Amino acid sequence: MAVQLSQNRIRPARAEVKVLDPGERAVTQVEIRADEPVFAGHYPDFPIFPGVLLVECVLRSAELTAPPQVQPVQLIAIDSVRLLDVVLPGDVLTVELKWEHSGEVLSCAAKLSTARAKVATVRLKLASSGARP
Amino acid sequence: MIDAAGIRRLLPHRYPILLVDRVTQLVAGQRLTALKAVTGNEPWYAEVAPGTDLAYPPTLLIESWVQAAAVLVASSNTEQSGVMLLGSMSGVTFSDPVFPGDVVTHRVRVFRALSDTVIFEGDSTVYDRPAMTVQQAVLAFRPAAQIRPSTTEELT
Repeated sequence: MAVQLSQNRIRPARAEVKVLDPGERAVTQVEIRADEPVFAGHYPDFPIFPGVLLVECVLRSAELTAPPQVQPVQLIAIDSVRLLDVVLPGDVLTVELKWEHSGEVLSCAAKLSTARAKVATVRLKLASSGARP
Repeated sequence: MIDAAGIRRLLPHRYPILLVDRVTQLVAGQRLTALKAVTGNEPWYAEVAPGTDLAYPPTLLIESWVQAAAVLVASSNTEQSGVMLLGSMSGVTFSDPVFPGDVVTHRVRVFRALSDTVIFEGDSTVYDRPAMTVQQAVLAFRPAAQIRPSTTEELT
């Protein structure tokens, strides 16, 4: 079964994803603000943006930049996540997504970076939900 | 068994991102079974528009499972204080969605333990319904001094 990536779902982070560049090589930007609720507990006195929420930024970026003919998309699998460096309050994430398709299966390879460093790579497997909103 | 107080001694995570409630089975260094109760009272359920899909975010299900893995390591590593940081994951698939009112059971197994890195695998279910499968997750141990400088200051 797949996870529906509709725009209408529960979001664990307040950070909004802005699309800078749509297309097969898309770019989005996410500002990680210091008032993000998760920082209170991750960790007390030492805020680090959780790695899984970097994946959440990629899911949201995928929702927004998936080719229009396959929207809305559903998540089949997170093929891989590599967390390379920390993300801190105030960082601005740049997410570069490369979309590919092979038959019914869409794949999306994302590279995430801040001004300081490359912070993560994420590969997703998705499919079209088929339904038009 | 490790109760909520025991988990708080082992993990630095706190509200709203302490996502493991109880450990029900534990074989040191090998595997554990842990529970996470999902409630609509978590902060991401605030200010939700009518018609919103209320399924628990899959990335938080992953975080919850990863914290269970961290508890498995922390419970047998009492000499050093520090945190397990998630380094990588692969082959994460989702089955039935999880909703408020569900109690998620995480099963975490050590696949291989290296000097400061542990490779895990496992799955999450809601009663008998599959929710998530994790083919591989790699967690790396970082000593407290590198993570919480304010803590080391308090100790000196």
